[in-house]
Amino acid sequence: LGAAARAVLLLGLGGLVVWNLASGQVHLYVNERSVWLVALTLPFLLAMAATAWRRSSVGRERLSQIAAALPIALVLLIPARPLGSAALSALDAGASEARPPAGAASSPWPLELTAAGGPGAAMLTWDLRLLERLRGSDPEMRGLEGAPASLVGFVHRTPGLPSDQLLVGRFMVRCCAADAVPITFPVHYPGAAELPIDAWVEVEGSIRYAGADGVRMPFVEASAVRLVPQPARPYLYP
Amino acid sequence: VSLAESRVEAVVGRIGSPARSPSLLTAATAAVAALVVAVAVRQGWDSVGLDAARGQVSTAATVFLGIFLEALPFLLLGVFAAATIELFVTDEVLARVLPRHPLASALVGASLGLLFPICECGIVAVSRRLLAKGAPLPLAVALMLAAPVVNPIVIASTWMAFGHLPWLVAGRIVLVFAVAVIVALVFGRHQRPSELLVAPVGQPASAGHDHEHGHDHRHGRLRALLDHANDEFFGMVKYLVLGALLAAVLQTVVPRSALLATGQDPALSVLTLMGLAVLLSICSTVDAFVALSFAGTFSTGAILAFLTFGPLVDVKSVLMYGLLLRRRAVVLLVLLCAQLIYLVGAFVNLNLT
Repeated sequence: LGAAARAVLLLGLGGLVVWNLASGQVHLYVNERSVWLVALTLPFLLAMAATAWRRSSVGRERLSQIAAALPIALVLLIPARPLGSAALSALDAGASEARPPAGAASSPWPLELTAAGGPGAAMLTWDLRLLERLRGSDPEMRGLEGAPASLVGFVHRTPGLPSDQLLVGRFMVRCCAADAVPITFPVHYPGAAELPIDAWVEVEGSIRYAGADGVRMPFVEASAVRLVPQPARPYLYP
Repeated sequence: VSLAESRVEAVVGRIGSPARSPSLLTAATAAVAALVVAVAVRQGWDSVGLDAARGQVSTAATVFLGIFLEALPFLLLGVFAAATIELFVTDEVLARVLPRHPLASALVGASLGLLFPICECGIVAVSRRLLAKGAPLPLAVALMLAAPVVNPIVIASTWMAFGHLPWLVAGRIVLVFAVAVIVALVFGRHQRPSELLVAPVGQPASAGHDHEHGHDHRHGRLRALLDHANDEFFGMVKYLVLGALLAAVLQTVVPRSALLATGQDPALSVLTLMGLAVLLSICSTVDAFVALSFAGTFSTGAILAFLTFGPLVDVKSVLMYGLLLRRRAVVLLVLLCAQLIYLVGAFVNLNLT
């Protein structure tokens, strides 16, 4: 049975690859740059499957077979979901607070926009990616008062968050879901409590600041919040 | 003519093995039954009322499949490279080409990653195969440890992330190279190297594989290549899956913020990011970008430790090392790497930053 089981498992893994590619679910797991690499495994898996069943015998390898079956079983048993509010709670959002060092070569943001009241800030419509880039070069995110914002992300709520506030979240993925870094931005919206956790929303509004003791935190004052379908590519890529 | 003969042979081979059909039928029936059960469970998934637990399971499943799908191409690259070495590189050629002196072989092994740009998921298969072909132990160990960093893809990605800190890029490469050579030399000095190795290291990774009965080379080299790759794959996949599963579960249940509090302590920060590197088990081709997100929070020595310890030792690679080395040898390897990296990380924090 070992040789036949190998063939079935290799076919199953090939099927897993095909299913993920065809359904687009591969984007829930890896960066779009890696999709071609995943596709590349298909001919190798199928070629191995084609010869595997003709083997007269293989050694005892129950653990290997169970291991090879596990990814297939997970795809079949658990509906595919992108990382969302539960993952954000698990990761505790700590990583999104981290900053590249001053002068980091990767910091892509124009210097003039990082200065307080920088020209052009109010002209842009700010989304989560732009806001995160700004946060990378200016942790205080100055100069955005009144700038329009349009955020698309999932609804996240932390314990103790007032009922008229929510966090709009999204994950930045460089390689695969294992290195996902959460990005969140606070939103003030009177109907926040009615929005289900993990629902995808589009928030329109403008950026305001709040805080005390000299610490000013930016947030979006929402003028409209509407539920939207989960994007085909739910993660952001650097 | 030979192609036609091989086709006929293949057809005859299929007809002449009636015992295989019931096996395939049984396996296919079991697969279909499992599929039916799975569809039923999947449809009931959303009706279960355990929101928090369900969210955590979904998160762990997504992280696990992310690691698995990202690593699968590299695992296959590794097993096919190993199978190619097995079939096309003779012991005599290796004996003639590879140095025997421990230091020279460790240096060559630590540099071979420049020719085999394979990350930690695939390099163990290559190291095993070279060892089985008679390569010296220091060479195999140094290759296994250094290749995930000392290769052009990882050097380029590290430069992209930390190009503004060239000494950190160079430090990563030099430190991993040095640690790989030192560990390889320690292993090479063992009186009886065979005591460090798992018993059947001369065979493909698949447990119990018997080169005589499993397959033969009558059907041509391509068939033999696929058979060897098949054996290697089923020998290695369990370590990848177990490692990815463990990393996914740990990521889901251990909050990162619990670790981030130690960020600037010269000693604790190094230990913390070493632990995080093990926990996250991120591929070495992209871990530099993840390290970048810690750069404002953690000390520079800790970042260097993250960039060097992770590719040497993480959950899945430690399990894979078990294919080559006995458990005691793996523990020794982990301790050696951890001590060296910790000392360098703490030294950087105390003296250079």
